[in-house]
Amino acid sequence: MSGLAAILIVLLSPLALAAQPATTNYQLNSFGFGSGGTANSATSNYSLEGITGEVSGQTANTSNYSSKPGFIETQQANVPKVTLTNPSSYYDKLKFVIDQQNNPTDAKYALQVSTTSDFSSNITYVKSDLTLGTSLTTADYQTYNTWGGASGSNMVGLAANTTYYIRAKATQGKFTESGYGPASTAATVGQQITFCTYSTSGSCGGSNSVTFGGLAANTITNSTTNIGVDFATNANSGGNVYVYSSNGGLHSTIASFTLSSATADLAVVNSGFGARIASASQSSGGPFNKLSPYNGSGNNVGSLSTSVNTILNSTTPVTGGTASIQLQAKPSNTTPASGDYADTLTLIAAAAF
Amino acid sequence: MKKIRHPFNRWQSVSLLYVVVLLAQVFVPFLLSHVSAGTLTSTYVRLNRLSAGTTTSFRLVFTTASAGATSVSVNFTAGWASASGSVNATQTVSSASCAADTGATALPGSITAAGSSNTVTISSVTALSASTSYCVDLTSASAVTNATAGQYLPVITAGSDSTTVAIRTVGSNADQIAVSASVNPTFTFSLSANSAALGTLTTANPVESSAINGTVSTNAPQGWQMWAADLSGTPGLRSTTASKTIAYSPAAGAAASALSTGNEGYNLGSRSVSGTTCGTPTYGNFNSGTQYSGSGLDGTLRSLVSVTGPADTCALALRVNASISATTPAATDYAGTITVVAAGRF
Amino acid sequence: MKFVRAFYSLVFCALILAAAFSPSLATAQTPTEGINLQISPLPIEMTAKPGTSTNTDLRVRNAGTKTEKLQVRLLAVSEDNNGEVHLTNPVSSDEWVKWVHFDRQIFDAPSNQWQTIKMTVNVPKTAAFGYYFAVEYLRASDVSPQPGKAVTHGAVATFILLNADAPGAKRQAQVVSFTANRKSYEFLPANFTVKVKNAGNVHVAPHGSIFITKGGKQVGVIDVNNDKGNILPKGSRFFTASWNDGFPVYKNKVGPDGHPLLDKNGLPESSLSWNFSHANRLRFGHYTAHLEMIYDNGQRDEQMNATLSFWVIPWRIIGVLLLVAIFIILGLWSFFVKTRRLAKKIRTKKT
Repeated sequence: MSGLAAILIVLLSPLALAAQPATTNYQLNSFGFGSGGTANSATSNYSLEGITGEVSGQTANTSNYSSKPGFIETQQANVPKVTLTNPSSYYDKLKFVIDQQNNPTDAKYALQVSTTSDFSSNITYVKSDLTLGTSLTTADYQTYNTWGGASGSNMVGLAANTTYYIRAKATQGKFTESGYGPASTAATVGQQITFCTYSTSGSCGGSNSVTFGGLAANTITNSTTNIGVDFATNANSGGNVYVYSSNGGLHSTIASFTLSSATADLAVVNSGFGARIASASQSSGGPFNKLSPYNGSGNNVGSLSTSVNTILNSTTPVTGGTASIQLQAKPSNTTPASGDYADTLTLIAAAAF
Repeated sequence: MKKIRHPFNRWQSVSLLYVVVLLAQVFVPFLLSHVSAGTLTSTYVRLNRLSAGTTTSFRLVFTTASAGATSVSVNFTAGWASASGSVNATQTVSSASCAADTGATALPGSITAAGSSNTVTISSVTALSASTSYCVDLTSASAVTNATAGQYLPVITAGSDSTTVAIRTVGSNADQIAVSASVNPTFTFSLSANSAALGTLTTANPVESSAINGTVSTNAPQGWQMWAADLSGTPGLRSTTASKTIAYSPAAGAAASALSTGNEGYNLGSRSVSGTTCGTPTYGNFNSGTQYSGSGLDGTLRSLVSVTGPADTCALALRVNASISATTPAATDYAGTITVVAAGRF
Repeated sequence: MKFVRAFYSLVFCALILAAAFSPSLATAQTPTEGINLQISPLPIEMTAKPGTSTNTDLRVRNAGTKTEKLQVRLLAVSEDNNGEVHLTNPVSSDEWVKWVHFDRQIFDAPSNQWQTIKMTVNVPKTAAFGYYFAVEYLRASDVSPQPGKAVTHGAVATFILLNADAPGAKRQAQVVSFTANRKSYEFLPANFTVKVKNAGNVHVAPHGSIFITKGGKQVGVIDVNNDKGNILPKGSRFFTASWNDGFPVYKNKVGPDGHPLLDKNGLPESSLSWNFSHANRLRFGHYTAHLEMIYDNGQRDEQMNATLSFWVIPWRIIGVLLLVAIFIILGLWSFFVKTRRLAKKIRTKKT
């Protein structure tokens, strides 16, 4: 028992290691007596492994590595690495990927997170549900595969516009937990939404007027230019683009008549006015979707009513979302002739964070 | 009556009450529903106008993390105010119509709203459930005045849950597309057939062809007119083999009258206009409700009808009538040609 | 030589047979359905200085199901004193015929396709004031006369109002008559007709309003020629306007197919419409209709005025009200008589 106490003192007291056997030129950093100790002495909450005659060597450090010789240290899991990134303008999450450093597949890893580079404060741990918590429990030790394997996982619930540091430690059964590996850092960005609408005769910031020119009875006419929409957001639930009309159709003050808008196939109905999304795409994320009833082909148009209707959406973050909306109109034989038919379409956007 | 003796004296009772109060302070928070700060998810503020400087209503949709919130607020933050944005003190609020649009639950309760500083607060909300999506409309057209073009980060709070969302305003009226068009006057005219069969003419009675409809549709507000002429050179029903022309009866320009049995004659008659939209008609000499009745044609285009206003599938039924006498030469090649012209008025 | 002659004979016979049995040629030259054409715009107003030229696009669509070969030709246009428009073949004095040119006189018109014909008018230096003609669209080759039938040739026309903008133009109009269709009405509408004559040498489009007053107070305004229909020089035109802002009011009946119902004389059938939200518009009394029209005389708006008066007497409603009043008076009288008798009896018994 006195030997066990000795080795515990060696393990727990770095000061003890200061008095190693030494000559003028050499110092023995590690030596052992090779006898005694205990293996797996346990209570209901704690287990103890002890050895006598083994002295933990003095830790040797470089800027990147730390060497701790001795039996206890050599049975520890390899120190894992972890990489933290913000691959897609995340505002409340960051992606981590564990580098196992040749640990066996049943090794488990715990992840420590801080907002300070030296982990001196704001210490949290990645919980098993990927949120951050102030405590680290055995349930928060997960295998490499459970932490997402090579694809990694996102730790969530982070603050926007904040730099986070993360480091990992590994364990494989009792008495094998390694120290924390090197830290990796990444920053969240702020919540973002961009939106612009314009006539496709130009680009964002250009003209906001679309004209049909002359409409002839029983003839479907496309607007000479389309309505362009640019949309992007990093909101987790994506966002929507909406449209509504001031008049519910093309209105002539002179003729006191409205060429009403309705969802219809203009090739079939006598008259009508509506919108159809000619194209929608994105550079990444999304997809930026055409929504019914504006997603028809040919002369199938959706109603431009005075109530707000969703015309485009994305259910996930999207970048470079762009769409081209074509307007189509068809007067009937009795649509009064007039040169002042007009409508004002309002396009708005919102992103769900 | 037996008096029940109290088991504790006064000081014991006070001490017991004190212990109960202390225990209550310890355990009541655990007995009450668990309340903890969480993050609202799937949350958005939809400004119904994005134009800078414009007043607008807006919609709020959010999903709770925890239960129990009885008020909801949208703090447009100081950045909004410093960019000329503002929140109206007077607010109107409704959750009646947003649920159908969004699929969220209408914010429950006899909700009221008011604006103060940069924040709109919705009060009198019935305690919200956890992990539930709610929606509400701030319906006043001047609920907020949009800040200058840019991105802003309102903070949404529901009880102990909150989150920050991004909204964007654009340049003046840059959220609107002005659409313009002109509808040209058009005029459509069709004839339902290009010939009217008279069949075999007999002295027993005049004959009347089936109707040929001259149908007009026009959006020209000034109305329209239809004319007819016989431009064949020798007006009438002509047989080359018999070298005979059955002349118009009555003559061109005369009022409509009916052909009579045994008397040679040929004419064009019209009926009243009918259709989806027909203006007020003024008929020429050809209109009559009587069978075999009509008027004559010649090389001059003569008015069949003049109608005011636009027309939608407005049809004028035209029939040719013919009768022969006992002396009319027999032939199988009696034929006539009628030209019908229609135009929108000036 | 015999061989050559035989060869040519064979070629000739082959051509004849080919022509006779070619179905495409046969159908192209023999229309089997009535014509169906759509034109736009209309009418076309053109203004040019003498010695210059002007042009416009004429558009025509074959709304039929088969390809047509169409042609355009010119007709002279005039308007008579009764507002009737006359189309006639141009005569030698119609000098404008030589000024007008089309880029296509005869053209194919596939089904449902718009064809555009450019019309150029070279206005000579000697031209002055208004020239009025029509461009007629018709089949280039229509169906020939058929035994036992009357064949019908159809055509549509676009009116061209050409103003050779020369000094001396006279834009002048005058109201010839202003009438109501009745002297008195039981219920509205009251229909007014204005006859306006063009006393100038350029077409004019007078328009204005009829102000309805009762006892000096205005009770209604109705537009006259709001669509700015033109009157040609030497012509007259009737403009109608209807005051129907009353309660009850006669409205045209509409059948289940949405078409107006006509009586046996071809006139629209009407019935009383009782919209009680307009009950305050029950018209009764003597009304004055004051016509005010203006036209552009080239320098300013010239005004024309006329006035008429009429009565509106809703005699059936008055009759019913009178009957009700009489019954009420009789009832009250009877009540008072009975009450007085009863009072008399009571007094008699007491005494």
